[in-house]
Amino acid sequence: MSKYENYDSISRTYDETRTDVGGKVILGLLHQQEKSLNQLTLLDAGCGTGNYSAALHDKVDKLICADFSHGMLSKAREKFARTSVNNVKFIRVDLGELPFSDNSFDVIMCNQCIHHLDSPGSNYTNFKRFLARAHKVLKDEGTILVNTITHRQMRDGVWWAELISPAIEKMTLRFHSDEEFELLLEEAGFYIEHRIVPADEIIQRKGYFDHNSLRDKRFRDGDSHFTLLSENELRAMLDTLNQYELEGKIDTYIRERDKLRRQVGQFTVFSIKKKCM
Amino acid sequence: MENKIQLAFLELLVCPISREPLVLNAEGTCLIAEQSGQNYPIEDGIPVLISDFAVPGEQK
Repeated sequence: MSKYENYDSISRTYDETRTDVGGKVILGLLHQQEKSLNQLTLLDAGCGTGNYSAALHDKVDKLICADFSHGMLSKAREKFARTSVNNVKFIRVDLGELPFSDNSFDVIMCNQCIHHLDSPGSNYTNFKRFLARAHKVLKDEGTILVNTITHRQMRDGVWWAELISPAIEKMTLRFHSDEEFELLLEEAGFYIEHRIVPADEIIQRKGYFDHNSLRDKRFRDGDSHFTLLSENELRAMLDTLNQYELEGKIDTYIRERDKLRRQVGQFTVFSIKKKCM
Repeated sequence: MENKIQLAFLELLVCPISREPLVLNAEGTCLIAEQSGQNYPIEDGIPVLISDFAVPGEQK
């Protein structure tokens, strides 16, 4: 249930720039569960167009793909349409409600979606609702895998972050800090078991190093930061891009900025365990 | 369009309001929370289990 993106509309082009980034880390963490992989019941919470589920469905026992957007769910289902998959179901939900029976899932995964739950200043109300429900619907020793972006990664994880600093500032208000995240988890009865940063993975790899990508709305639609730019701020970004290009320094700028990305990575995968009360 | 929900999956689903189990109606077009009387549509084969979209029906 994004508070700022129209995902029914974006679903049409989303897969042109987005893949299951971090998918191998997710798979590795699924292998670490006490049960074997083919016995796991998995919830893909905020499944989007199903990129992660498409890569995992034939490895687990049962998989539920859940999202608020009918458009994204329909795209997700298309990925399974040509095969006779019978261990996957698609459900439209509000992630704050998680309408599932208690003790249903071994693992819940949330890939690049928790920042869509709350508006700035809402004190993470919907994320707290999600965690409270997740604690119920997870089995004992269950795990949440959260694939998300830290504040530092937001500022330095993409070369163009400096060019869209007004959007980065706005987005920072939607993402909890590391400290807030740990506190929210603690209060909900969870703890962080692992945090993994795949520093060489790039969220929008196709076209990432081409500055012309920022001129393409379809590319920008793959990164929700751009939605938070006003028209004037977007124009200012494109003007700066044009200026760097005219001055012949765009390639150097991208190269220098990308050094930061290689230090901090673009995203972090948290493995979060349910505490048994 | 697939409207049938397999039993194994139906057992995982509950009403987002009352948390009671759901049953599929005879036509296979919606999921029903019998105690609280809430109906949840199945649109294009996808159940919509969102409290804001619940349709009040008959309470048991």
